[in-house]
This record gives sequence, C-alpha cells and structure tokens, in this order.
Amino acid sequence: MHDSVDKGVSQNPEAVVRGFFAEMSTPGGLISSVQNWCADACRWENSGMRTAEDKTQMLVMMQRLVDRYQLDRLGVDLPSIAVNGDKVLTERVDHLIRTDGSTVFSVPLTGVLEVRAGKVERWSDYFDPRPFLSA
Amino acid sequence: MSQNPEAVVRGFFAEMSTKGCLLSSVRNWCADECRWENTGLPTAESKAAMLAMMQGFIDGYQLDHIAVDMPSIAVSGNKVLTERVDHLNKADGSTVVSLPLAGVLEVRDGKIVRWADYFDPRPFLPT
Repeated sequence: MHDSVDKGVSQNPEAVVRGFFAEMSTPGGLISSVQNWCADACRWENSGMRTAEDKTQMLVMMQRLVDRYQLDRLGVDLPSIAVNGDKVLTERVDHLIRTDGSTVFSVPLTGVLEVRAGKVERWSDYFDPRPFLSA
Repeated sequence: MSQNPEAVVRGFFAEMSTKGCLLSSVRNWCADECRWENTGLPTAESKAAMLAMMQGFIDGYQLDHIAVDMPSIAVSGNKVLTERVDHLNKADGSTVVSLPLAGVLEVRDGKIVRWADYFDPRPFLPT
C-alpha cells in the first residue's frame, strides 16, 4: 500500500497510524494492514482479551476475527488524535464491517499506538470487551 | 490556576490522588456542564450528576482516593488524551481495584467539560 514514494512521510508516527487505519478500512485490507504497518515485535493489547505478543500472533488473532465475524474491514471514525513523541493516542469508533457492508457491531474506544522507525510497535486498545466475549 | 489543558488535567488527577479529595477534585476542576462518560456505565450529564456518582463510588467501595499512574499523555488543542492505570484506594491505603484504561478530557477556560474513560467495566457490574 505505501510505496517508496511516500516512505519518507510514513516515518512520521501520526502518518503511520493514519496509514494503518486507512488500510484497515479498505475492503479485504485487515491482514495486509498488519503485514505492512506493524513491526515483527509488535504487541497488540485489547481490554479483557489475550495479548498478541508479536506480528505472527497478531495475524493469527486477526484471521480468527475475520473468520468468526465474516469480517472484511474496520471502518474507523477518529474524533480525537494527539501525538507525544513516538506515541499516538486516539479516540475512535471502530465499525466491524462484513463483506456485504453490514456492521457486526461498533466499538467506542481509546487506543495508544507506539511507532518506531515507521512501524507500529505497540497497539493497545481500551474498551468494553463484552460484545467480543458473548457467544 | 492555569488555563493550560494539560496542567488542568494533571491538577485534577493530583487532587484526586490526595486522601479524601475525590469530591473536591470534581468541584474544583470540572465545569458545571461537564459530562463524565465511562464505558458500560451510565453517563453523568452535569457536575451535580458527577458528584452524586462519585459519592456512590465512595459509599459503594469505601473509596478514599484514586492513585493515578499515567504512562502516556498527549495534547491536541483543548483535548488531553491519557493512558492510565487508576488505583481505587480505601482510606487505609488498600486497593479495591486497579483499572488499566485510556481516557479523553476536554478543557475549556481552565475547566474540564468532558471526561470520557474507556475500560473493561466488568469489575463494576453485577455478575
């Protein structure tokens, strides 16, 4: 998704985070967004759920979400974003969207992403996990 | 008092961490029309509703103060975004529950007008 032309831009933490969410919002872009924007050692933490300790585990967890909900993409509303050094703090509403365009559910949340050398190294989202825990 | 949004938020949490100061922190740092949103819990729509809700926490958990660890803070205009661990402490210093969370506070004219915290609410909900 990000070619050599915008590699300079994509070192900037806010631009990396916006690029990551933009790709995640693209049809079929969930797995590739993790592949393209996350470091191998990236940690993915979600309130009330098991932490993925590296990119390999992130991809397994994302694939599980894709399969469980017939998930196609994540529509991301971003009412607030603020940056401090390599940390990007976001207030968001993430819409879990199926291939047919219907929404599984929408999650209001706040998340912290840490970016180093143009890659996401930590992705921590805080939210009410109950929709994910019910059968 | 400083009008600076980050200084206001830090002042608010500093007072909340002080023994016996939960109600005064709301009185001193929040605007009359402040909204207090917590994932999975009812929203307090004004300072009066916030004070009633805070009193409910004090009574329900014998709560005395909230010790705030803040690993991350970032500011954009009048919005202050925080990543925190809030330790709900009793007067004897014991901890009822520690909550990893992230929250957004909006500040206008030196007062907090919106305090929205996002976390797993299950410790507060009946099982």
